[in-house]
Amino acid sequence: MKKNTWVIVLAVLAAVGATAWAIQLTNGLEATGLGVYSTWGLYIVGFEFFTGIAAGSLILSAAPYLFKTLEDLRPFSRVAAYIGTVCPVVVAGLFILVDVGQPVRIWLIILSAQLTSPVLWDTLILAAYVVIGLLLAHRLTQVAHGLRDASTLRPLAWVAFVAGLLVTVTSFIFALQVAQPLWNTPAEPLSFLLCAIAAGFSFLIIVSVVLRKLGQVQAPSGMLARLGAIVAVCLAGQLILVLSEVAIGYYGRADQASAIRWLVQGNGAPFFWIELTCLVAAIACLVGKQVRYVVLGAALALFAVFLLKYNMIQAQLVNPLIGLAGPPNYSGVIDTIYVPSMIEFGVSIGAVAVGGLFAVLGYNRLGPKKTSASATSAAAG
Amino acid sequence: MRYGMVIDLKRCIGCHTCAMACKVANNLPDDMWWNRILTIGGETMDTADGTYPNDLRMSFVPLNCQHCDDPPCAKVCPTGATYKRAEDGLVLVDSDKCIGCRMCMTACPYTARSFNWKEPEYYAGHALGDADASEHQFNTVEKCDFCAHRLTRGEEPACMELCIGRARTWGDLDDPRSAVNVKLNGRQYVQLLDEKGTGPAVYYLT
Repeated sequence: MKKNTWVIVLAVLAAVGATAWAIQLTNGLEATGLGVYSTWGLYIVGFEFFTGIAAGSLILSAAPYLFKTLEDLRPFSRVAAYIGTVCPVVVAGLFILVDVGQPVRIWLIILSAQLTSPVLWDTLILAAYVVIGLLLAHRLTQVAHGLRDASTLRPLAWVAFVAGLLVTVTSFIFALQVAQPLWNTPAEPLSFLLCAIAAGFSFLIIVSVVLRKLGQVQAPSGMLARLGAIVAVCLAGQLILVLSEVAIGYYGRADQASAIRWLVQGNGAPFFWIELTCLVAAIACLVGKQVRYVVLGAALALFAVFLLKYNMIQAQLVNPLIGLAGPPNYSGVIDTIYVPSMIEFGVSIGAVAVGGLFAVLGYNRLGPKKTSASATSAAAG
Repeated sequence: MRYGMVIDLKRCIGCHTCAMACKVANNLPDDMWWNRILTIGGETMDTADGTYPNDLRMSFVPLNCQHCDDPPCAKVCPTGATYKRAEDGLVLVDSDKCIGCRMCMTACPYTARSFNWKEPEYYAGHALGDADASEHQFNTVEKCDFCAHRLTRGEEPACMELCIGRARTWGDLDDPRSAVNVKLNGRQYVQLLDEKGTGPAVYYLT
């Protein structure tokens, strides 16, 4: 019953998103808060964020089958593979679908593929995440029902682990762009990996607490604190990158200086300082051993990673390399921040709700079942 | 053969006539400018920088697609909608293949690309320019194509014709005797953001 309530709420939100998308498709992307300079916005932030969660979760689902010290996390692998990987990839894919102006032509990414385009690489990686996530969840279910030995999982676990690390390649969509100096740095792939592990593990910390409340899979004892410590280390690494960026922006007039100064003391300052506060607060909470602090830290970590992506996009795009004044739409001087329109919020909520529906409806098929007959039917899904 | 353009900044008076010529020749919808005259000066177009009366400065940079030698926009395009034409070096967009992902817009260091944020509209209620100008498609990216339709007719780009100061020169960069190379000879020039490795085909005489 409780599950049905969830399904109804999520379905309504998904319908809201579909309606908002329909409005956007009929009116054009004018319905969004995007423009000549802010060509990317909330949808791309959402894409990055959920890709990160998926990659981090894929690493967490595979690692317990590869490394002895993590073996006690095995009971949680199935949840990580499905709720942590497959569902967020669905959301990330939807974010790309709603971002493009001509979604009916999206198949051209494959049919008219250009090997040099990072968009193609990302598409292939996301598709691989879905396949690997589903396959891993399926095999783990077989293991749980005694149909398969855990040792046979190692090859697939390696594939999943490496696929998770390939989140660095998804950063190339940004890192390879000479036009955007703030992104055009080898720190970007590293930042993507750190954010992916931080976001993926934080997401699973919260999922595990929710599942425990619902009387489902019990997270192994001490798991939360251990995951929390790993998240804290990743966030600390990310903090070093952020502070180094600030140092580079203030030391001289590097190409990215205007974007960084805009963030630290310009119009973007509220965003930046909240991001920094969340990063530090999350680290402080996560090193605590108590479960409630770890959970709070995980929530803060997710918010910090989201803001990090949001700021990375808007700070760079509103500070273009050529910022000279031109005709009205190309004013050059940017005196506003990027704020998503209500349509963008609606579509985004819908995309996340679809991911939620996948999680709620799919979870039962992963849940503990007794007979091998039902295990087979679970595997079929 | 590689088409290119030389723009003499000393001769540009910032009249925006070439921008208008481009807009008309290419049927550009409302609010869209493939060719823009940027002001080096104050915070808004056509305003000076500095303090009155002795310290005022204002000059202009006409900016359109630079038809780069190694175009970042074409490299990142997932469908090949943006491509570099081998025979004359033009960087063109096939609107029918554009999925509207705007990857090329973030890839372009010159912000030279425009997006049709809505169904193209015209102040006059209908398009006014050349009948053979390229089509403007809803929710896709487009940009200056060096007036490819006029080149087919054996004409020069529209921005060339109406320039009051005769600031623009057009021709084949590969031909040492072409007008562009003659113009470049002995003059100091800059290429916008050449340090980004794009290899622009537009040269600015300073």
